[in-house]
Amino acid sequence: MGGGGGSRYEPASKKALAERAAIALKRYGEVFVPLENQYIADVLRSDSPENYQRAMGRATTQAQGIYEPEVATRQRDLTMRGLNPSSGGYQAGSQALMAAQNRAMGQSGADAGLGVTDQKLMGMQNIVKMGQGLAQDSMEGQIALAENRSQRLRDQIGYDLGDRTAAGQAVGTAVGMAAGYGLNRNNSNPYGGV
Amino acid sequence: MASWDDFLSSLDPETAEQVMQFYQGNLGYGQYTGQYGQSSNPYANINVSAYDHLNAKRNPGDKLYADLVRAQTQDYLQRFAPIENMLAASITPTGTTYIDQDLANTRSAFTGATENVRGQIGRQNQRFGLVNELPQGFENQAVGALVGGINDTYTRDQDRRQALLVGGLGPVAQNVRQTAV
Repeated sequence: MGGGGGSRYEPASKKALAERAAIALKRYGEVFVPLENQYIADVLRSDSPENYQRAMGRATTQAQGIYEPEVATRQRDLTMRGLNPSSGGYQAGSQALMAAQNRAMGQSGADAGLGVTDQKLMGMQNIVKMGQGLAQDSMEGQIALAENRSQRLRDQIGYDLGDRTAAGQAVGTAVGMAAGYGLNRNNSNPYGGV
Repeated sequence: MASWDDFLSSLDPETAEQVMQFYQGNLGYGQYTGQYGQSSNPYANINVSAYDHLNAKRNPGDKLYADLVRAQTQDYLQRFAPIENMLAASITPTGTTYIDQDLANTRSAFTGATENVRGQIGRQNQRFGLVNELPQGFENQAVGALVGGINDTYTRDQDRRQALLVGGLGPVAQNVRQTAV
């Protein structure tokens, strides 16, 4: 009896691994977190009135730039053919195309506005994915910690009672329940609003 | 539309204050200088040597690991959970909260274009010495185009809602299930 007591000492490699993880996390905080924050700020401000105006103005001008030369060419042709600008033929040939230009300019501008909103939502989705990588690490870490505690308790109770198998199973069940409870509690907060 | 201010006002005052302070302090362009200070590093307070004085029997590696998990959880809750909440709150039964802004943009785009073309036609007619009148059916076409644009905007918003519901919030449920098994 008492042979299991040695396993209660934490291996040195475990502390070394934790130190390596700590250094990596500190480095992540120094180098990547400010960049992530900058990205988050960009996304949150991407639907500013100025951004909408800029995108919509550019799209409208683009449509105008495509239609106007065609309208001018059509008018020149109609004039050369001797059509009177006040005639129905001239109007049908020229100004109908300008009505189409109106529609195209409106559609382009509206589409650009919707695109700005889409971009913001896509950016937010990316942020969520970034955060869930972190949440995943955190959750896995908590499970690993629960498993470590479980292992230590198994060792401890096995050492104390001498009947390692039966006692270990009993404790495993109890710790599993506790870990499950902890996870549910942890997850209910961030996703509570979903 | 769910603006940042709307989102803040949906939180309880204490949380709203914390979120506002956090983003103002860490996300403002003016604050971002490329020099990474303590305030912008959520992991700056991790002390790698904090448990060096403990012997192996007291599990120093496990304790340090626990510190890391806590820091990650805190970082996640502070920086990412508010965005998740904001994204989830933007989903409505019929679309998203961005529909009002989008409809306003669509109206503005179409009315702006109509004004522009109307002016063009008017100037052109004046050059020919004609009475400043629009081609037959122009107003009807303009209104028809506007209605089409508004319908498109509603459709697009509904598509966006579907996209958010099926995947926009990420594989949250799957992740939780996988890690809980």
